[in-house]
Amino acid sequence: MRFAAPNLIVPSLWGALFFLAISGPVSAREIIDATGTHVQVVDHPNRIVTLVPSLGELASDFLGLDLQRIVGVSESTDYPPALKKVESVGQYQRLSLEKILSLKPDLVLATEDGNFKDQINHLRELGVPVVVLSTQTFSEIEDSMKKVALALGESDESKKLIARFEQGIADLRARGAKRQAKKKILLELDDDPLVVVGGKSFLNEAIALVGAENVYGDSSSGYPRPSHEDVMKKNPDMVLVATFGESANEPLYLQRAQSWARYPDLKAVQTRQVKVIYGNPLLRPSMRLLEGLALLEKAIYGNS
Amino acid sequence: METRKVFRPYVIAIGCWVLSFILALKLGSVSDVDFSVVTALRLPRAILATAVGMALAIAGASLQALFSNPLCEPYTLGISSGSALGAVIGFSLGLQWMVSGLALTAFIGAIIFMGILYFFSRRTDTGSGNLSLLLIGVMLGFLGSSMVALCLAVTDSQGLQGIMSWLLGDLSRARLAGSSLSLVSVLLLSFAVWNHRKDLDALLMGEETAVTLGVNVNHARRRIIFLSAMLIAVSVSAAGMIGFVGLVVPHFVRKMVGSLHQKMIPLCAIWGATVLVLADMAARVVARPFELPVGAVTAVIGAPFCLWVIARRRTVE
Repeated sequence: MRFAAPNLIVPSLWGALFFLAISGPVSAREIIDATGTHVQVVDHPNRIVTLVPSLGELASDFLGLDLQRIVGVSESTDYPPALKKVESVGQYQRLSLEKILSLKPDLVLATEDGNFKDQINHLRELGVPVVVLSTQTFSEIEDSMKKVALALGESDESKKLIARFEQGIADLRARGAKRQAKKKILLELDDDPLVVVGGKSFLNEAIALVGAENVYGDSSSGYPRPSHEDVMKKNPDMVLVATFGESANEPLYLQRAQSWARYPDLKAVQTRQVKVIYGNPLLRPSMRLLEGLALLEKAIYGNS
Repeated sequence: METRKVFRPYVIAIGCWVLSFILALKLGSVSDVDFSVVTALRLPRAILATAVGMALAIAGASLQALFSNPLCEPYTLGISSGSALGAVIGFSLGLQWMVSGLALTAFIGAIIFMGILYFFSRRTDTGSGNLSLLLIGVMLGFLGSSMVALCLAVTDSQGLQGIMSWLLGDLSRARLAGSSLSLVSVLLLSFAVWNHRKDLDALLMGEETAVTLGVNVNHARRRIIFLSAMLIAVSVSAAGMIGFVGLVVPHFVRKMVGSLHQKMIPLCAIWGATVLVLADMAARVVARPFELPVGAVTAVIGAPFCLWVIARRRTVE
């Protein structure tokens, strides 16, 4: 019995030492992400991996010249151009977990609506800190900007950027609210099959923000695939074909816009209101969205 | 000397499996191997590939005996498709609480489709390489996949994310615990199939011969249908629809050691594992750093092989 006490003391001392060693000088913060998960993120993440193009852009907005902290991006992340040279971790819905893990990230940024839940969970199970963001509405976009800024450990400069963004949105909203005759818009994202912007997308809010109306705004899906018959019935005042490329002048998109001439009964066709719109700044919710919204406003209402 | 000869095929097969397993741990979508990548991602995948390859090859061998037709296997007969339909229905009902929830509905789907197949096979002459069985299977495959498409259209797509790559056969979801559980259940089921080796031998020779050999044909059939449906359900719920492993592997094993199931079953298990481990490695390496669905790799090799078998049967006849 005399030996019982030391037998307990020694392991507990080791235990205490071990506890001190792991809990020691904690340089991590806790971030509650869009899925309600508490994620431990180091103070100054230096090995950042972004899993959708828009988050690559948003992280770059906050990092400024510190871009080398981004070590991995999803395929087709092309803005800012420096990110084209960063290693790819695969398409946003078919990520290579091997690649991500081998980059030893200290912060992974993902989206709830873009990336697959199972792959996110898998990364988390492997101990990778993944901050998931949601960007289905403008308030979620503003919230995701704050969360990304927080996760990156950037404060003053990013606060200014976010304030500028919020101000820009407020200005656009005020201008949009004054529009008397709201144009009915169809925003086309793909044509075979036809994919348009529905109700559950921030782009629906974007159309409303600039003072127009989305003909598929009542759709319960984010990106519905209506039949052309249904489009005839909705009869939009204007069809906007969004590009997924470098510029608005690629022949592919011009052809797509021209192909609407097959439906001469459409009001948009009769009034020559089928236009191509440069999609990249509009479709990716980052700081560039202000620029994209300005393009949208200009495409719908001109310079007035 | 005698024992060495008996064990030689097993030793060769196990040796090949070990080699393929090591290769699968060494190669992948990234070339500079990091230990954490190997243990966290490649090891569970290789274990799952082992389990699923085993299950598919044994299910293929049992189905070939059951219908006494060498063109049978879970994928070409549309049973994988029925099983996938079951899993998708389970998924949309929210049964993914455990691996077993999906495996249960996948099993129900597999057994229903197998029942339909069996019902039609009794009404047509489907033995010894007859193609009408394959036609029934192709129709069942269409039925299953179109009903899956229907399910996906009516249910909330958010919950069914990533299901398309899973349908094509995908091992990337493998986790260590789940893979080990799959391997254990496949080993148990394989042993159960091996216990029916005499029945399988008799059925392969046709129903009449089986009866004269004193086999309770209906009883044996029910057991084998049940066990193959279980094997298919385990593999489909874990890795989606992977075709042709169950066709190619038993074919070559039969060439090597003859058609007695005493040897066939264990060798099919080991070679099936080896083939799928290698196929999955190829799926990760071919388009670095992107990964292909492993089902695409097995189909590219397996479908021409199936055609070759059909063509050869025709010329023999």
